[in-house]
Amino acid sequence: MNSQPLVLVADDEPRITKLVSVTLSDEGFRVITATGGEDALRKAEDLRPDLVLLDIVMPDLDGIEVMRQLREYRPVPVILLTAKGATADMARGLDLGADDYIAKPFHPDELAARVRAVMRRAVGAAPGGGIVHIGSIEIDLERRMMTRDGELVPLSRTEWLLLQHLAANAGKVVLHSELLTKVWGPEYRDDLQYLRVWISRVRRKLGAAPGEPGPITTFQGIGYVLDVDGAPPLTAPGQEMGEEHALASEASGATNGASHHA
Amino acid sequence: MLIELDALMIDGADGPRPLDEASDALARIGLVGTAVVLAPASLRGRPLPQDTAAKIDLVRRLLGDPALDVVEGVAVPDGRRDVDDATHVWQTVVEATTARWLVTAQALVIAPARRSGLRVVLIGASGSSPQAAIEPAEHEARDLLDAIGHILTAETFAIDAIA
Repeated sequence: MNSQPLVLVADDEPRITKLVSVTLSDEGFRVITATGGEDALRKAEDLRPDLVLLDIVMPDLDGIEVMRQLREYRPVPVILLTAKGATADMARGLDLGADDYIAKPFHPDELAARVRAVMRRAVGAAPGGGIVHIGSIEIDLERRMMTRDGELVPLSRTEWLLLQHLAANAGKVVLHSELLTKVWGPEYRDDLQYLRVWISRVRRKLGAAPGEPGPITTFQGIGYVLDVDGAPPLTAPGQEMGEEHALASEASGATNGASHHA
Repeated sequence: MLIELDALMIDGADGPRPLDEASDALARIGLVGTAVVLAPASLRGRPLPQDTAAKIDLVRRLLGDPALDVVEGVAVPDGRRDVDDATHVWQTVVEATTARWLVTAQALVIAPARRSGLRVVLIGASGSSPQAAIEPAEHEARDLLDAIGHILTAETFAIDAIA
């Protein structure tokens, strides 16, 4: 297996894909190119890149839609390429979960630096390999996917990052501040409300009924534990059954706000 | 793309030698055009052969590329009249090479080169030269690869980018 990270760059302008390819190759990345959105989706599915650079404006499928479809089956880091001054596109892309954006025209050094930074964050967010089992649920940390009864469960990037950290520390209490820092960044370490909303979403993906914690146990004021097969059960004092109920009304309103940090 | 030999070299213990990144820089220029090295009369105080063929051969050997395009450099002006004269010489070089860009480490070259139609990337700062301050370069770069990056950016994203 090649240890050099694989980057997929999709742009309908060959001069730009060439510049990106040469720049990132010199930085030690392997680079594959796509000429449009459909081509990018095909290549991403076949080659499973570690990072994807997407031009927002492409003739067949725009970069934001490509990102949305990519994230349905795999939480791959995405950097959007935007036209200079296209603030609305850039903001929409970030709101919908892009990890960063680069405005055209860009200097090769800026491109390389932003790709390295996103890769650092992605690698830092990946606690390692292994497969975690919870009943019929399988969380594959190496392949970054979750299945239930053998069926792939679509996860957003934020949902995956939360689940990944919990699964990598299965059976242990993961502190609120640690999850917030790992998933959203150190500046969000006290924003507990984001965490509650997204934990609620992850619980649903794990099959928990509304209002039930499922396999994620809450330790009030401390953090969360993912209870997995083979791990001794932990008992949380005052384990909530009502947190989800309390959040039910908040979630619908807070989700849009939280997605800014996805 | 014209690039002055001096911008590709560094002083070594045994005399000037190519920068480690010189070959990468020349290769990157190939993305948007052809690199043409300007061979001066002297390099870091050491005279180069007066015979053009011998000079070109020496530059190619210095840079390790026998197929490299090399042409005679243009003397650095040191006064108003010299600038006008140098501009004429630069125009000749531009016509012969169809170059659009110049990479140089000498601020005094900026004025005549720009007047001949070249866009100039200066490696290092131009602040110490009043003449250069009158005619600033299109870009100031911190080093050779940064300079090439500015050209790649400009040419890649230009509407009328060259093939």
